[in-house]
Order: sequence, then structure tokens, then C-alpha cells
Amino acid sequence: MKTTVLIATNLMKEIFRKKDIYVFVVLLVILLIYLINMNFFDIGGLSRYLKEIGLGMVYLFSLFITVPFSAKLVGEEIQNKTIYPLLAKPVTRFQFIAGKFLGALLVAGASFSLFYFIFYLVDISKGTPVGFILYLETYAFAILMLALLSALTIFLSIHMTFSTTVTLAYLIYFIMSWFGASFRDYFYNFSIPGYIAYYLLPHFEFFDLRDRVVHSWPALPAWVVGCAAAYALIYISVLLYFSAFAFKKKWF
Amino acid sequence: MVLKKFLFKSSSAGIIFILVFLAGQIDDYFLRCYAAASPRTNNDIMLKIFGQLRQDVGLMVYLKADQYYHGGTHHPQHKTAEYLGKEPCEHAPGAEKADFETKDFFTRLYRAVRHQPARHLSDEQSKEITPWFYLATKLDPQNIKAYVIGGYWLGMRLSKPDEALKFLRQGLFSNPDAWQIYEQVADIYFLVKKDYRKSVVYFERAYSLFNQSETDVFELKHLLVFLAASYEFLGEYPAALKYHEKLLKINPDDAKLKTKISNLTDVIVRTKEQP
Repeated sequence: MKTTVLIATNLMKEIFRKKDIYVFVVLLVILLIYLINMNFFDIGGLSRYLKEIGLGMVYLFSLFITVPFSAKLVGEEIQNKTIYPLLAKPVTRFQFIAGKFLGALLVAGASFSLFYFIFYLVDISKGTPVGFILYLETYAFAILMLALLSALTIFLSIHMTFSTTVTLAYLIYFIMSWFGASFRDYFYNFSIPGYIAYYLLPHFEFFDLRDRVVHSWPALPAWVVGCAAAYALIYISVLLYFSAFAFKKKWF
Repeated sequence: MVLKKFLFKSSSAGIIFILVFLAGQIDDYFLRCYAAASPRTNNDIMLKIFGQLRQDVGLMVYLKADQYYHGGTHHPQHKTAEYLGKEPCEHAPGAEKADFETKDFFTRLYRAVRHQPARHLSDEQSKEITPWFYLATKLDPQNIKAYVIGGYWLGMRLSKPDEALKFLRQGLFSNPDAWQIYEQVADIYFLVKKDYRKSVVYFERAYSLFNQSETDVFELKHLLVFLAASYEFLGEYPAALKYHEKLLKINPDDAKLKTKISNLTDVIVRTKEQP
């Protein structure tokens, strides 16, 4: 566990050494200020468009940080040959993968937390906030979604090159977020193979609570939170297990 | 090595599999977009490559307004016609409840997270839809429906007729032949501002453009009824009679219309007899 945490904390420092996160923070602040000052037909008290676009940007910027960061974690170690001294130390391959995942999750979580906090401040300053529990649920679900995406990206990066991994990770994320729910009806004609594909693909659409925040819907009931969390944790565990398994079989 | 080959093959197959199914989904989605608003086509190749994307994003933004009006819920695609029939009243609560009844756990979870029963926004909240009309027309100035419906909301529902007219004039600047925009401008002058002189000008323009391109009887009736009424309010009875007679050609059995024409004829005769 100590080894895993050590790998993760080293990775955490990297995100603050690089300038990506600062660029996104500045972009987000500029965009939010621009949106607040927009005048639509001289109508006052509009807030939903700000939540929709602002929260959309928070999610998008978090994706832009999470996917490339997770994709290069394993590949870069192999390419730079830093994997050899690392594996010569008493670190199992599972610990290595778990440490990388934890690091990616910390980076994704830290960036999302920062972006979300900025959005939250703007939203409450506009005077139309939703219930605090809904804000918390949205935050927790987004972290689960980023964790799932990190695990998927790490899994893909073991089998593919950096660019293929990033492309495929984005593709899977956007397809499942936009069309995941309708796949069941679509796969209906394909009987068993269709159903297997439907249940095997990662359902990112379960973790998007933006509509709830934008349209002030009520907070989710406990069973939904529990089921979504369980789904994410099981999926992440399986992905990490297969990543470690594939990494174990990998020849450098 | 065997595992590596297998994974490579399976991931390639996976990409192809996803792309094949994605094509249908994207096609289906944009078909809905085009059904909601059908912009003019342009044969310019550059516009087809780059402009089309802008139009597509504009249409998606336009559809946001409908989503907002229904409290954040999309109309289920297979029920659109059924729901549109119920549009003037609130959505039947039982209909959404039936939608939630499914045995598939993933579907239940998705619906619990992402669905809410559709409800129309209150008059106070409905102003929230207006930014999407603005953004839709900025992205695609040829989106006539966005101008017309945006103008309707601003002028008729949100009591902002001047803003509505400004917005619709921007629409006319980009779409000088759009009879729908002229009609909406005329509606605002007639129903809100009660300026019949101006409403006649815009209705006449809409009618002349409509005659060149459309065959929609419902819209034709709307234009003729309002044209006739505008002329009547202005005291120009022969012009009003002309449009009522045109209406009678569409509805030859309309008894009320026949009475109206007879009354108007009497008024015109009396006016002529007066010294």
C-alpha cells in the first residue's frame, strides 16, 4: 500500500509542475465572466444557460486533463525506459498499476475539484444555487466517472500507443455518454451478442448529473447513489485487474 | 504474444463495431435535428464541409430551448407525435410513469439518474429558454425557425415586443425571403402593439412570399385571416373583403365566413351610397 501511495503522490506533483491546469483555470474564469456579462434581450435573472455551459466546460476541461495524463502513465515509463529501475525495486506489477491509477485519480480529482469550486462560487454568487446535497452528489458522481475513465484509459494504454489510447478513450466516453442509454434498444436486434456488448461497455451516462443541477431537479435517492457507486467500483476493479494481468504478461 | 494478438484484433474489431453502430445513432440524431428545423441548403462545397458543422451545432442549440421548456427532459423520440398532440395542456403524468417500468436494471438506473417527468416551465421560468434562440441564430443565421419561435416567445409570452422585433429584423437581414419571419413580425404588430398599419405591410409581404413557395393551407389561412382583420381594423373594407373571399375559396362551406362577407359587402355598399 505504501508503495502504491508513493507512486501516486509522485504523479500528483507532476500536474502542478506542468502548466495545463493553470491554462484551463484561466480559460474557465474568462469564460464564466464572459457568460455572466452576456445580455440576452435585456432579460434579467437568467441562470440556467450559465450553469449548462459553465458545468459543461468544467467536465470538458477535466476530461482534457484526465485522459492524456492517464494515457501516458504507463507508455512513458516504457518509452523512457524508467520502467526497468522501477520494476527492479520491490514493486509488484499490480502495485505499479494501482499506484498509477491512484495518481491519475488524484490528478483528475484535484483538477475537477478546482474547476468545480470555481463554478460553485460563480453559481452561488448568481443567487440561484440548487440544494447542497445535489452539488455534493454531482461532485461525487463526476469523481466516479473520472476514476472509471482513468482506469479505462490505463487499460487501453497497456495495449495501444498513446494517440490510439487517447482517441479511443474519448470515443468510448462520448459515445457512451450521448448514446449509451439507447444502445439497449439498438442492440435488441442482435440478441445475445448485442446484450453482452451493452452490458460490457462502460456506462458513463450514469454519472452525468448536469441536467439535475441546471434544471434544479431533486437530489438522487440513496439506492441510486449506492448502485452507481457499486457499478463504478466493480468496473474499475475489473479493469485494473485485467490491466495488471496484461502488464504482467507484457515483454519490454 | 497470443494474448497481444488477440487484444489487438479484438480492439480493432471493437472500434469497427462501435463505428458501425455509431453511424446509425448519429444519423438518427441529426435526422431529428433536421425535422425540428430545416434550414436552406447551399451548394457551396466549403459551406458543406465547415458550414454544415456550424448549422448542426446551431440546431442542437435550438433543440435545447425545447428541452428547457420541458424542464430539462427530452421528448422520447417514439412518442413525439403523441406528445405534440398534448402540447397545449400539461403532459399526462401516467405516460412518464409507464416509461419507467422496465425490468432492465441498467435502464432503470439510467432513468433514475437522467429522467424527470416532463413539465412545462412556468411563465416566470420560461425566460430561461431565450439564450438558446440567441445562440442558435448566432451559430446559424439561416435557422428561420429559431428566429420565429424566439420572436414569438419574446413578443407574445415574455412581453418584450421591441426586443422581439429587433431580433426578428436581424432574422430578416439574414433571410430576406423568409415569409415566416415577416408573418411573426406582423403578428406582433397586430396582437401586441395593435399597430394595424404596420401589420398589414408585413402580412402582405409574407403573403406574397408565401404564394411563391408554399402550399401549407393552415399557414395560408392564418395569413388571410390576419390580413383581412388588419384591413378591417383600418377601415379598408374592400381589401378586407378581397381576403375574406380568398378564405372562402379554401373553406367554401364556412357559414360564418359567408355571413362576414355579406356584412362587409353591405358596409361597402352603404359607404359608397353616402355622399
